Parts: sequence; structure tokens; C-alpha cells
Amino acid sequence: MAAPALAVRPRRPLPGLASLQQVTSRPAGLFGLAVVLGLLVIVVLGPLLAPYGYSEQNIGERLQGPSAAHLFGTDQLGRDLLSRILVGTRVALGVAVPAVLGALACGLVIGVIAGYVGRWVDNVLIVVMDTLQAFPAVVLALALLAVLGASLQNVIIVIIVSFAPGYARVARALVLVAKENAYVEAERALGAKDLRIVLVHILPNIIAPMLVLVAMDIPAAIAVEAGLSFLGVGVQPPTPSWGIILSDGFERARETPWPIVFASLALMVTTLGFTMLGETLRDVIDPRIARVRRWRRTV
Amino acid sequence: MNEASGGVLVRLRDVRKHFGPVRAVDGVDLDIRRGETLGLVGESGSGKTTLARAILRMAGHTEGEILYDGEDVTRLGSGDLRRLRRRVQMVFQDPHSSLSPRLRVSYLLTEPYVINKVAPDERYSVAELLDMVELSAEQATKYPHELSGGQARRVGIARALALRPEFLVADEPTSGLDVSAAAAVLNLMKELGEQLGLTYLIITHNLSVVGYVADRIAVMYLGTLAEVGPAERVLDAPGHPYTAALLSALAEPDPRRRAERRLLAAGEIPSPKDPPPGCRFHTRCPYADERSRREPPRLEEVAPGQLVACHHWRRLRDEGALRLGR
Amino acid sequence: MSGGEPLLEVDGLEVTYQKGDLSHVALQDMSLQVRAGEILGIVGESGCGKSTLSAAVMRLLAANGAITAGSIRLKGQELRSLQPAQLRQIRGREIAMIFQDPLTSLNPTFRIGTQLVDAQKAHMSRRSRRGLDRELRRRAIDMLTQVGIPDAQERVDHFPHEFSGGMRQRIMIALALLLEPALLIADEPTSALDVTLQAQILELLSRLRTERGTAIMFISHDLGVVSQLCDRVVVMYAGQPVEEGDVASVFERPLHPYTQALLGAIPSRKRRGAALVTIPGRVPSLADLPQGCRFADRCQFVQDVNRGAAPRYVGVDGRRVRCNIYDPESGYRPAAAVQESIS
Repeated sequence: MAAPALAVRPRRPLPGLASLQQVTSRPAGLFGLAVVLGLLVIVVLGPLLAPYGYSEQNIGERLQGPSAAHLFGTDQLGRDLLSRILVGTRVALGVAVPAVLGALACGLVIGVIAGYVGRWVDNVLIVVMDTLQAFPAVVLALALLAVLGASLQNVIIVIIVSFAPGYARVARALVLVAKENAYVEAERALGAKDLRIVLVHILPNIIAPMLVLVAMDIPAAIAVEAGLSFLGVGVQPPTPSWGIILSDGFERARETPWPIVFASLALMVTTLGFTMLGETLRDVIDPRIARVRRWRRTV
Repeated sequence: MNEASGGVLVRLRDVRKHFGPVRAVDGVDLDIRRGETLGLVGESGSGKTTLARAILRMAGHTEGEILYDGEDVTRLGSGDLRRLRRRVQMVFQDPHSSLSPRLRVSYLLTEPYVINKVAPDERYSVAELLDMVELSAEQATKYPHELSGGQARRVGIARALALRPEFLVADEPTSGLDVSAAAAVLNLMKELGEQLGLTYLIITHNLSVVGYVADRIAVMYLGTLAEVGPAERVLDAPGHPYTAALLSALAEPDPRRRAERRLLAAGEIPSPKDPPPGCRFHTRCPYADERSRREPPRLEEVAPGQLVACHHWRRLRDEGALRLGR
Repeated sequence: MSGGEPLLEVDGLEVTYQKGDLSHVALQDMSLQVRAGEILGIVGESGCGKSTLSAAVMRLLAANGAITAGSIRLKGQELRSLQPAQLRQIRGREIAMIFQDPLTSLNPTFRIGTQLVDAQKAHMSRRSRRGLDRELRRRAIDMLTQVGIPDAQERVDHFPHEFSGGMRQRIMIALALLLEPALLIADEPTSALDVTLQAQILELLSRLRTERGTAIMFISHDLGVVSQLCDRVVVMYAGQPVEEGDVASVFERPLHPYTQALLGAIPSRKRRGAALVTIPGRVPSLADLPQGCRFADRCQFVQDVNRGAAPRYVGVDGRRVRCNIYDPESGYRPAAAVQESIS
């Protein structure tokens, strides 16, 4: 039975979607959104904002701390750290975003097919996904990169292969539930074919939780890229990945701590921002979880 | 509702549908006549919903014969099935969850035509469909979650009518609705039935609804038919103890009935995974005997048009045992 | 059976819910009495406030709800002024409640015997609990038998999921009655059950009332069930009681136009061939209630005076109605046909 209606009820957004207002009204959401938007600005305007070229070397000024000329200091080749970190944002997001979206796309297709078709197709796909997930991510990444060669594009491929099974599982679970809905049966009774049911009635209803996953996975992907670059098997110099800045920084840690400090800060802020945005989206979309956290004993 | 204008539209013969160990429908013979409203009554586990779905080929593989207008539904290919679906439609039980949540009402009402590639001149417009179910035009832009239970149910009915079916299956048409909303839906269904010459199969556990709306009533218990007959007869002079128990349990807002003699079915409804041998109702029936435990009763005609599956119907009728009331 | 001082007396009760900046009054001017051994029915459609009423009496309102006016007296004692510890004493022992969904009301991880024994222990002091396990268990088995659980001796050690819905509802009733409360609040206890099971549970409640003298406050949207089981009935609409009286009078000669329309809307075979009564419009939103009579916009007997001031809850023939038609001081001009019931 429906609850009594409040008169001045605004048109509620569809269940499962978040309105901008709902996100910004929460401090975590506001922070996350601000960070993500800020990062987007840097990605778009990157080289324009950077005071120097990212590969401009100036050996005379190497390993300096922050100063008026170099706000973040310089690295071992005298390159301006601020500029390198700004451009590094492009690398980080330029790898993470397409990679995660790619994983989403692949995972969705596989998961939807497995969940909707079921039977032996489901079993086969599950086995494949399980096998992929059974490998420790690092091992898988290193193996693939050894075969494909180290480059930015290949890092993207590696991330897609590692993350896609996760999306496939989530998509499959959501589809399994969605296809039991009464409205799916109703559409079949009207004569709708399977493809239509999947595209029009199932996909739009499962996409929201998956987008939450995307927001949470981007920092993970950034970390993977940074890690691989740190190890030297990811992006190759002179392209400034935060991971490379970190690894260079570790080698020269005794002479100047600043590269480590600023690269870590960049990673931290980015991770925090995306994670908070993702968590806010999740709380808004699925208020049941949020309500449990706020449960208080009543008298 | 219309007088049965002759001709059998749906013929079921020995229909059986098992879901693994669960014997949901276990041997049902039933006719539905063109133009009539048949009320299919039963509690949980009776199989009534499965039976109705089977007629629409929505219950998976089914044994037995299901003839719709002479054609065997169980053997139709996909093209023929699509044609069948245009003649037979269903209104689902839960008004909200049977509407795709991200689509507006206007699209929900147009979709049947899109799916079936219906020519523009053969379509009802959205306005016409809304009008048919007595909804105002402004409902067209709403999403399902913005509709009340009654409104959502009407949209479901409108969708079912879009393809101009001749046979409509309504699954618990009043469930989840307040008394006044339920009354409005029943009024609407009656009117539409008359206007459009529809044949109705109404599935419900609520005897007052069928008492009000049905021409004939079929009572199911654990996958088999207990009784079938004209509504007035079945309600006034039930032939099967289970029907009498349902009638006793029927709570009408008439305090004078408190003094009535009642027949209470004892115990619980057994699980359809393991139905009792012999007569399925024997575990709860005050009249059960050794024969009830061993031998399943067959449907016999006890009065013109009234069929009962009970070994003891003759004795019970002569003793007036099932005549309840003041 | 019944008579004497009222067991439960609710007077002018008002409950308000807050949602962000908006607040709405879910229950207003609610007054009723339940006497010992009496079964009182509370009937109404969704949103009328009947569930709020039961939660308020048990002081179990949701976190955003509060009692903003009125009093609730149990055996003369005011419940509103009690401390949480005192309320816990009362709940279960003096007033017990059973709910609609027996599936979620019993803890699935404990045997029912344990739950029944725990319920008794919760109301005993630590000292008096000692050594009584056997006795408490015996009482539990006894209660289970009384509510119709077969083989109670054995089944007392089963888990809730091993019982069917109807059985679980009986276990709930056993749990509620173990401590011999004076008042049982039943909130839609049979709505989720099959019809034949519903009949059994109603029979059980009636018998328990006769044997133990327990008073029952039976809340339901089903007028039929209420007419079968209850002695008196209160009809609710939009958060207020609009009619009350003994069941026979209210159902045979309903006074309030809403009650009349509600009874006219129920399908039955006696109504074949005629359209059912439907009530135009919708229940007013609780956040935006009209000034005068809340039913005015949907009432076929409406006059201007009804939209002005809210109608009083007046006494008529030993009953009460919230309607200007029956209030000689309201300014309503009665026409000859107005007071006929709709059949």
C-alpha cells in the first residue's frame, strides 16, 4: 500500500538514478564532484596550464625544491615537476578512463549474454571469467605486457582484460535478477523479442549500479597504471606518468623528497575524489544501504 | 458480461505442467466459452496462475491439449505464436512491477504497436487508450512509479487492449488495491467486456470478486479441478466440500452471517510437491473416508452444467450438508 | 466478558512525521476505547493512519515520527510519560502485538522454543529466572498446543522456516499471548494468508478472547473480516476516525458517507448486474489537508458549510460520527433523502 503522498512532491527522478542535487547536497559528493571536474579541466587544458614543457630539461636547475620559478620543484633532469604532474594527469586519466570504460563494455556484453541466455553458454563464460580472475592481477599484467610490449595502449589493454571479468559478474548477477521482473514477462506477452527486451528493458535498468563501479574503479586503474609505470613496464619515458615520477623520485629520495611528495599527493587526491563520488552515487542510488548505516535504536 | 454467445474458445484437455517435483497443474479439463467471464478460483498451490499462463504459452513446455479456437497452442511455431498473442492478452498481478520502470506511459501504450509492427490506421492513439480506461490525458507523461496502484493497473489493462484481443486473462485484478480502487477496476472491466465483446478469464482467490463478475466459476485445489459450474449455482449450492469451505471463509461485511453454520477446512494446504494420494482434499475434509484416501475422484455432472470431483457428492447433496447460511 | 473501566483509552492522539523540512500529521484527534475482553476493529484504506495508530500505542513509531498531542492510558496509566525501561516492561507483558508478515517477525536463526522461552525470561528478573527453564519450556509447549500447532512437544525445537505461513502466524500469536497480556494488537494478521487459513486464525482469535478474556485491537483494511470478528469498529479516513460503533449498527446502517461508499464498493454476488459504488477523487494528501471536512471533495452530500470548519465528532444513538449531517449545530441543511443508507 502506498505511503501518504506529500502535496508538494517534486517529480522524483527515476529510481536508480541520481540527481545532481542529491549528489552535491552531501559533502562527500560535493568534494568528489569538485575533484573530478577539476581533473577534467586539467586534462583538457593540461599543456596550456603547464608553465614549462614536460620534457624540457634544464640540468642546471635539477633536484630543486619548490620555488617561485618551479612551484613543485624539479626532477633529476631539471624538468619542472608541476608541468610533469599536470601532464601526468592526462596520462593517468587517459589510460584509466578508456580502460575502465572498455572493461565495462566488454564485461557488460559478456555478462548480459551469460545472464540472459543462461544454460551452457553461461557455464562456459563463467569458466572463462573465473580463469582470468584466478590469476593474480600483477602476474597477468606482466605476462601480457611481456608479450605485447610496454606502451600506453597496451597498458589499457591489460587493464581491460583484468577488470572486465568483474564487470561481467556484476552484469550477469543484475541480469539474472532483472529478467525475473514481471515487466519482462509482460513484454514477452506482447510479443517482444529477446534482443528488444535486453536493449530496451534490461540494460537501462542495470546500468546505474555499473556506473557506480566505474567511478570506484577509475582510481584502481590509475593505481595499476602508476604501478606498472613505476616498474618500468608501462608508459615509457619521456611521457610523464605519475608512476614514473614516483620511481624517479625514489631513486633520488635522499637528495630531494619533493617528487615523491607531489606525485603521491596527486594520486591521493584523485583516488579520494573518485571514490567519494562513487560512494555518494551508490548511497543515492541504493538508499537501503545508506539507511542501514544511519539506523538508530528507537525507544 | 456478455451472455455466452455460443462456441468454445478455449478447450483444455488433461493439461499437466510439472516444475520438477512440483505438480502445479495435474490433469485439468476445462472449456471457456466465447463471450463469457470465467472465474478461476484457488488458494496458493492451486495451479490457477500456471494454468492461465499455459493458455498463453507462457509456462514453458506443457503436457496435454490446449486448443485456442481449434488450434493446439502447445504446437505453434513462433510466427503463429505471435498471431496468437494478438488475440490473447494478459493483465498481470502486480500493477507496478509489470510496467517497465524507465518508460513513460505514452511509450508503454505505443510499444505494443511498435513490437508488432501494426499499421498506423489500425492503432488506438495514446489518448484513445487512456480514455478507454478512464485515465486523464496528463497521465501520459508519467513514469510507472508516479502512478497510484489503480492507475498503474489501468495502464496495464490499456496495454493489454491495445492489440484488440478477444480474450483477456486477468491475474488477481483487484490485488494490492484499496476497496474503492478495486471497485473502479471491476466496473471498468465489466464495461469494457460488454463494449468490446471480450471473453475473460479472471484468476483470483477472492470469491466475492467472482461472485460479482463471473458467469461461470471453476475451483482449483492443488493442481486439479474441484468444481466447475454456473456462478449462481456454485455459490448457492456448492457440490464440493472445498468450495463450501471457501464460501465459509469468505468474509462478507454482513454481521448477520456471524451466526451461520460454517465448514472449516482443517490443517494446512499440502505442498504441491507431494500432494495427498487419492482425493487431494481428503487431508482437510470432514467427509473423507477410505475411498477418498485411495481413489482420486473424477469430475461428474451433478446438475446441468455443474461438475464436481467428489466421491460423496450425492450423499452431501441429499443431506444438504454443504448448504450453509442462515 | 466486557464492561467496566476501559482497558486502553486513547484521547485526542496526534502523531506527526518529519521529512526534511516537511512535516505532516498522520493521525489527528484520535480517540478510542478498548474494554477488557472486547475486540475492537480499526478499519480504513491505505494512508488512513491505522498502522500509525498501532505503532503509536506501542510507542514504536519510526525515528521521524512523534506523538505531538493527546494521551494513551493503559489501565489508567499514562504511557506517554513513561521511561524507556518502563515501556519495555509494558510491551509484551501488558500489550502484545502481532504483525502481518510472520516470515520476518520470527528470528530465523533461533528455534521457536528458544524464542518463546526468551520472551518469558525477558520479563523476569535475573534471580527469578534461575532454574525455571523447564517450567518456561512447558508453558511454551502448552501455548503452542493451544494455538493449534500439532505435535507441539516435538515441533517446539524446530526453526521458523520449517513451518508454513499459517503455522508461523499461530506461533506469533502464541508468542504474543505467552505472558497473558491484557491487550493484543493485531495489525493485518491475516492479510498475507490464504482464505481458508485466514478463517482458522480468526476462529482462533475469537476463541482466545472467549477463553482468556484478552482484549484485541484488530487492524485491517478488510471490512468483511472485521465484520465477522469484531464487537465494535472504528472507521478511519485521512488520519482521523470518522465513524465508530458496534459492528452490527455500523455495517447495517452506516452513517458517514465514506462508510456508506466503502460498503457499497465491496463486490458480492448480491450486486451482480449493478455497478459498484466508487468514490470520485483521491484521499487528500496529508501534507495538504483541506480546512473543513476532509471528505468534502468526494462526498455526494457536500454543502458549503462542510468546507468551512472541520466537523465535530458527535454522538448519535450510542455511536459517534464525524459528519456535519448529524450535527444539529453545524449549519448543515438536511434534505429528506440524505440519511438513507446506500445498500
